[in-house]
Amino acid sequence: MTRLDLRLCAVSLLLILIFPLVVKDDYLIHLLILTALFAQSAAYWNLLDGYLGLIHFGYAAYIGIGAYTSALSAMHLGLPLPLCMLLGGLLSGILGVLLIIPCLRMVTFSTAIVTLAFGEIARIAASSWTTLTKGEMGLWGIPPLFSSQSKLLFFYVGFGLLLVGSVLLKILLRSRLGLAVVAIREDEIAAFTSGIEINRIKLLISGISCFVAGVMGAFYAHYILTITPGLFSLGYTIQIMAMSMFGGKGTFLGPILGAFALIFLGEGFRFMEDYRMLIYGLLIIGVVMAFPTGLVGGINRLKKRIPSKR
Amino acid sequence: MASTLLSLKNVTKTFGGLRALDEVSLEIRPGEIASLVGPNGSGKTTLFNCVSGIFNPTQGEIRFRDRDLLPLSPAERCKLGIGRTFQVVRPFMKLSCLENVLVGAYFGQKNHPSEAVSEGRRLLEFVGLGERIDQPASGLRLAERKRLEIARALATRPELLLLDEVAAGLNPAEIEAMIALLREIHGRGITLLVVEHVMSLVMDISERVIVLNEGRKIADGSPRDVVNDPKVIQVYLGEEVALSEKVRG
Amino acid sequence: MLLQQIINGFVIGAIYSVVGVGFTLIFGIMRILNFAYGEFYMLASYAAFVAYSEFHLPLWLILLLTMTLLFAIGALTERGLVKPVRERTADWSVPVIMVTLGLQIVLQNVVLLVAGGTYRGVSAYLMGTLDLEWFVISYERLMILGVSAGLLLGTWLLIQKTKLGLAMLAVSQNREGAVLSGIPLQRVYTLSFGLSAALVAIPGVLLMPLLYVYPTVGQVPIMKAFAVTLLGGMGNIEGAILGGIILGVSETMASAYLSSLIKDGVAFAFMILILLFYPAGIGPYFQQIRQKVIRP
Repeated sequence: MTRLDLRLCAVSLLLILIFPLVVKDDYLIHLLILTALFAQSAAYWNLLDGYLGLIHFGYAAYIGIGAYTSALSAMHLGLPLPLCMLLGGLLSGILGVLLIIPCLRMVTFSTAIVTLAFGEIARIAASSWTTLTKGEMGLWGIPPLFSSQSKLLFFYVGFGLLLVGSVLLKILLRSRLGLAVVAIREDEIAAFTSGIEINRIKLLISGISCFVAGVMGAFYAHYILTITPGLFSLGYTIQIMAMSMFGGKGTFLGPILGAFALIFLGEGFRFMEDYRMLIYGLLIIGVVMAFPTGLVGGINRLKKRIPSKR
Repeated sequence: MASTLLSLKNVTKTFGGLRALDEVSLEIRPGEIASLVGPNGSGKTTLFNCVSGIFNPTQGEIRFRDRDLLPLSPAERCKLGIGRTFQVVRPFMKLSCLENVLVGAYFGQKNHPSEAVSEGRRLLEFVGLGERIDQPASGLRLAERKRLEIARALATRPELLLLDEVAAGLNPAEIEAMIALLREIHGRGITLLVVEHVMSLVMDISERVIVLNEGRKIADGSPRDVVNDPKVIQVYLGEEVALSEKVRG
Repeated sequence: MLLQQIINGFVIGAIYSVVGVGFTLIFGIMRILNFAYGEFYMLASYAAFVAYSEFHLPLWLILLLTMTLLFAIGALTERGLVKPVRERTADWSVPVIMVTLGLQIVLQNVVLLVAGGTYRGVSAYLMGTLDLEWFVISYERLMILGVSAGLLLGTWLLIQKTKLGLAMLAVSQNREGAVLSGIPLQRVYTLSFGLSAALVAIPGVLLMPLLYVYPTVGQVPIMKAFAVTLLGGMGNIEGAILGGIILGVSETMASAYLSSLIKDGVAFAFMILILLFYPAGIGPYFQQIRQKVIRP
């Protein structure tokens, strides 16, 4: 890890520690917790799509699977919550791998739609399996991770997960596995004939990415305390995808920046309630036209334009 | 101790109605430099694809050091010692030259590599890309990209190197440099099987020439013999004069 | 009874085919997923609603006008929105997809602001049913089937027999080669986008009595578009036609014999099942068979 990385980590850690102690706005804290959740999801979706090149349109389903698995294990099996969250992650990870197995033989965009179909099937299943999931009415009464009224602990755990997840992601990307991942994205055939077992790596990364989605979903369940099948919907996957693309697909900070940008852009116009979404859409169009390679790409380009001191 | 490195027996490959390879049998001995020539569409790249594992033949056997290749994935075949370059160069564009070569070094070798980075640097120097070690592959010219691909393949420590039209698109000076590079690679004990259209390269370095036409092998022997073979001349009608000049000259 | 279900399945399948063809067309030519596709449908529905209930125009005129309107909107979208993004980066697939996403949000919300969120609708365009011995079919359904089939035939003819169609095929198979052959890429893109929008306009008009009209009605057709496109093979027109029928029939069967709640899920699952055996979609497989029959 470079010195810059370490410094970024330290600064982030500091910010995370003191922020909720200084700022008392409950709504803002809540928004930030959701942002951390989305940022992590976007970052690991980006691992799959931006870094590996495996387009996944059913990602939200894994968040949902993690949420429901964890909630139901806690409510019906009475297991300790961290274990439930782990179970949520594991089930998501395993299902993530299983779904990709048939996709290995397919063309790239086909994988996109198969995963989309899976997301829909999962949503419909969650919606109709009312005995288990209570269907559209939603599953409520989920035991919270922390019983205190203040959101402080949730904030710390949420951002802690984001930080740990980011560090692990960075280590992965810097490793040989990371090299293999990018090689596969750049040219599958060349990677295969150079000795990379592309199928094994696709399955491994799918498992990792979906595991993280599951854990984030579980955290969400034990924070919000009520979940509905809407969690599985394409809309959330698209939001995550948009955050990743907006910030810069295939970059490390891109998804995180994108998550913060999109959520706070969305919030910034809350006062113009009726026009909020409209402006949101226009902003997306505007930013994409100005920075086709995402925010990170745009920032890099701007940096190059700044004349250096002589 | 096998005296054959690579053997193909009655290899046939069909795509729907198209017979890309038709009962092709050949043997490559260790330490050889052999060329695979033939008009466009004669099946040369298809043969390479079968050997390197991108797809398997519809019928027939392919063995490497007497080991059946067909059940092995391309990655396994690479670790076994088969390296390959591509007709249309396929570097990892967004990766640096060193990273390109490291892919080969980390994943393509039989045993775990030690000192992969220094080995990678040495290989890049060897192919003449010492100046470009940290530059992205996308910034390289065609001739340089071809050499990068060779370096990447060499990083996998191959026994057999399949080179698919390494000279295509190169100017005469670059072709001379390529010939010299191939000789040096051969000098290190690597067996070369070269697909080529550029006759000057073929005639210059080959110990043996194999000719394919419409998926069938029509000639297999020393360059001189093959060039005078009437079947070959018929296939390369337009080049007859050029060839015979080269042989007589 | 079974025959009845199959007939019903065919009717909805024909519409799905039209929806799928428009979507797969753009994917084949531009290699993008047009997320605003559903919104083109939505706009067509609103236009049809106004034309029908306010101006009481005859159906054929509504179809004609909406198709023209949406063609213009599609072409304008390509020119005004997609083109600038295309010209800014070499690898423009992702940014363009994002721009269509933004457009989707904008269109939905503009309509929401202008027309409000109330569900609007009309009763059927045509009344009465055709009562045959083996099955029953309403004239409405018959009309839908007829118009869809005609549209699909027209599209197929366009692709196979006209210069534009040939250009589109060329671009979808080999973009660089097409450019080198002198095909005006920009014009192909704009016309295809317009054609795609015009195609999905028809279901927008015809299904209005069934699905009603509201700002987010576009979510339904885009899901079907995804499914049909995948089933038929990405970019494969004939596959999309086949895929639409298969999706329609399987959905109707699921609804009749299982449960209408989960019919979408069953249809999707069936689609995944088919893909397990035909990873490239059924279109390529079907074309392979046809080639074997023509040239045994």
